[in-house]
Amino acid sequence: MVTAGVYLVARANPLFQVSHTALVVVGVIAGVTALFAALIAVFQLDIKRVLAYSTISQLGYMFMSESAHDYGSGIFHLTTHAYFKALLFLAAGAVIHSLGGEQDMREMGGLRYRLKITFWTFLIGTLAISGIPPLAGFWSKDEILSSLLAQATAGGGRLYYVLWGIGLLTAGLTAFYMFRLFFGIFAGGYRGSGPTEDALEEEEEEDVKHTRHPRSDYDIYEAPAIMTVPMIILAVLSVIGGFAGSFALIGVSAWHPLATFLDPVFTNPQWTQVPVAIPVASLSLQWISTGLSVGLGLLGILGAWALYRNGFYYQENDNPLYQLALNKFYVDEFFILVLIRPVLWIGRTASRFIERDALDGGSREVAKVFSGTSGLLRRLQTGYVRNYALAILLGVVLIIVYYAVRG
Amino acid sequence: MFPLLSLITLLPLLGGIVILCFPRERENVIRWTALGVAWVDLMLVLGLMLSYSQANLAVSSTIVGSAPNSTFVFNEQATWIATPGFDLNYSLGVDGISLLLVALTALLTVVCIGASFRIGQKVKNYMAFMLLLESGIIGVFFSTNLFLFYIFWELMLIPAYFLVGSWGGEHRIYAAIKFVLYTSIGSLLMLAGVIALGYYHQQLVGGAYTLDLGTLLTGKLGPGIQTWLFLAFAAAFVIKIPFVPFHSWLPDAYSEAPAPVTAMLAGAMTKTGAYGFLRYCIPLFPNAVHTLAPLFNVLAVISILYCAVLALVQNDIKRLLGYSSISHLGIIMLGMLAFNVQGVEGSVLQMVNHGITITALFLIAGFIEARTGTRRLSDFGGLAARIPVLAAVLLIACLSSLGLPGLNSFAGEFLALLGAFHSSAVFGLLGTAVIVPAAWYMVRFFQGIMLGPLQKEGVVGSLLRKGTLSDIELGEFMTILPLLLLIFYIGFQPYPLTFLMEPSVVNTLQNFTSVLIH
Repeated sequence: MVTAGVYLVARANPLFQVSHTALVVVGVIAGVTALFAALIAVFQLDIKRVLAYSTISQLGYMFMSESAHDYGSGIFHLTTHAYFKALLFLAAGAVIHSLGGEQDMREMGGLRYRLKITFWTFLIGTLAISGIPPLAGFWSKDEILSSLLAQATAGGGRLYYVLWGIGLLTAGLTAFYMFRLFFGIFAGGYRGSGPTEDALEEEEEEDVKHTRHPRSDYDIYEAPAIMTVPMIILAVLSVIGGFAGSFALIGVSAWHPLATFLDPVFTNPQWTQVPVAIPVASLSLQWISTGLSVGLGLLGILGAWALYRNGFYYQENDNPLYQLALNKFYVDEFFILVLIRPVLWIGRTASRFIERDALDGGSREVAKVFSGTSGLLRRLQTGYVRNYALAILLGVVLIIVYYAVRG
Repeated sequence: MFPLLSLITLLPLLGGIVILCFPRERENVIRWTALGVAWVDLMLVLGLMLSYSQANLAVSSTIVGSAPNSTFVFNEQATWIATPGFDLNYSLGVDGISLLLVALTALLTVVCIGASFRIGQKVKNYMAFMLLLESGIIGVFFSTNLFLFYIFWELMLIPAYFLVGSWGGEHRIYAAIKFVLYTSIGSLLMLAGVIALGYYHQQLVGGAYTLDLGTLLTGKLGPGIQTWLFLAFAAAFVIKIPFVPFHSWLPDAYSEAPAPVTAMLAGAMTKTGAYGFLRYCIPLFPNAVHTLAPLFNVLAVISILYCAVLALVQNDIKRLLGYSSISHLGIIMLGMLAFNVQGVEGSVLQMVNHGITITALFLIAGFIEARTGTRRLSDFGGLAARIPVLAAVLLIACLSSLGLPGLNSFAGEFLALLGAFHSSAVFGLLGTAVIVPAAWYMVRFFQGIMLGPLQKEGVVGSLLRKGTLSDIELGEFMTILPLLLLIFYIGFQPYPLTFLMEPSVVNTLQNFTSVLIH
């Protein structure tokens, strides 16, 4: 579902083709998204959160590609990403299921012996997203990076160099945080501490998800076939899914089934006024790009291996930069502060001062004016003859005075 | 010809009088009689709808591209107050726009009387007043004479006053008086406008003093007079709709009145204001309307956004729905003030849709209040676990209200906002922006009552602990079922409604633009 935006931009390519500015905006947002989401993913502890931020980061890749007019590669990455990310989420689900609802990486570890199928499929997914050849993620990520480099060298401006750099950096980060996750779940020994306290206390709680908590790793069993079979299918797709892309890199430039299939969408003159022209990088440039991205990917894996091969460990850290990334750059807090709080404040203030005091109070005041006036007028007709006699007397006096003064 | 329109208009009034003759203790007989009268009236309206749409179909299939049935049909006219030089007729007529709104009113009366069976105090008077309210509202829609229109307009107010003031909550008297004072200030200005309109028209074209709409449309008043008369008429309509800042009566009246009455007021009665704008202001004072349209657009946008933000922070669920209602009426007015076919059709369609949805919401709020005795959002929480069916019904109504595609409000709001956008991108954008707070307050409303952890404290908490909170009863479900079916039906297939109203809308707009050009 989240990739609908990528599809929308590709679908609406005739619109984006006529506006360079729009594409630059797409590119800048995409680059920022890819890098920042990857940075957030590096510090998350909840395994599904890591995957969620990883998804955002990969979406950044797809949009970066589209900003370089290469809509086809964006769609290509959309498909390969669908294979391995669906696989990773299902595998994460299998892990969580086997641990009775536990999502925190600190409470995992050592699961490679207990969850064998999950282990292998998760590994394939992790390698695929890290861009290790010849898995699916490699082909699509590589196409995107080489289009960015080609756009940069063909006079696309500095932006595309920056985006290319971000793409490479993010590739390294992706490999690092994915293997951090992988080692965190499967490496070392089981760190889980058995049933959590709150699971037993809440007898009112209707869902029984949290009640089955393993006490030791012997209570942990692989998920049933209904969960593992889809994972295996997706794992196969994560291996071969990249072969729909172009093989130009390895010298077979005639093989590009997906590009041929998508071609009519981007070249139909009825829709597209500015034809989609993707500058093709020379083979040597492509190899530089590929080499760098795979190299950085391997570096990321190496880093994760060096840190976490014996299992995940977590330390509190007061470093403000660390806290910033751990708290997801305070994006949620930012929106609460600048958007939600002010709107609610306006609502409360308006309800108090405008609705209650000004409008309701105002109509009460108007009513008071009327009842006050009639209260005054009522004194003119008390029904007592002496009052009327007094009024007549006053009137007569006034008339006499008037004539007397006028002469 | 058989006076079908008079029958539809006056049948509830007669039914109400008959009910008043019943013995007071026979409460069930009274209830079922009232429901029966409302049903018969609804059947008559459906018959009228059928024959109207057949006539519409016959004409539109022969003359392609014309505007068939563009004026009033089924006209009924009788001389009423007539002296030489002075001529007031009793005249009724129907066109596509008024037909839909009458159908809505007849339906909502059946639903709301059905939902009022729980009311146990002074049942006789209550039912009589509900039927009288129906007569008043239908009369407003059917009148083609301004004097008659004014009479029905005031006739609505009487039962509404008693219904709010006698059967309402704690502050009902305050709410009822405020409601009556606000609306009668507007009505009086309109009465002055009506009388002056007849006078100026007589000055212009000569002949007898008349307030017949057809005759009044033949003369064209000067722009200065138009502006004053328009403002006098608009005073009544902006209070009834209402526009911010003339809405202060609404939150009090809606929250104090019993739920079925609130549903009638919000669902049917507020539409008379929007209808009056479309039926009288736009054709009679086209130049003034055109000149002052930006002002009313601004008011509409303010109503839409301001009340949406207010709905966000309300704790009383009926007040929350009341503010959401003002916000939605703003969209209706924004569409109407676009003066194009999409906008006006969306506006009329949305009058019907809003009537259906807001009635469902208020009735469900009433069901919940009847079970728990509270309306405070903070008193609820997690009720869906115990009353799943009622939660599902409420969810459908909430989703309809926030304009989910596939449900009724989407079609109307989409058309109205599209029309607004065509006429002015700024107003269109500002109006569309309400989607965000609308989703926010509706989700907050639903979530606050039905989702989240089970409420442990207060009345609701003790009901939940005892397990005595009951789900929707069969009677309640049958009452609300027609509304749910219509929410889905109009969502999937709004065409029959736009088909009925289209000739009338096109005709209104053609007259409007042709007057502006000349």
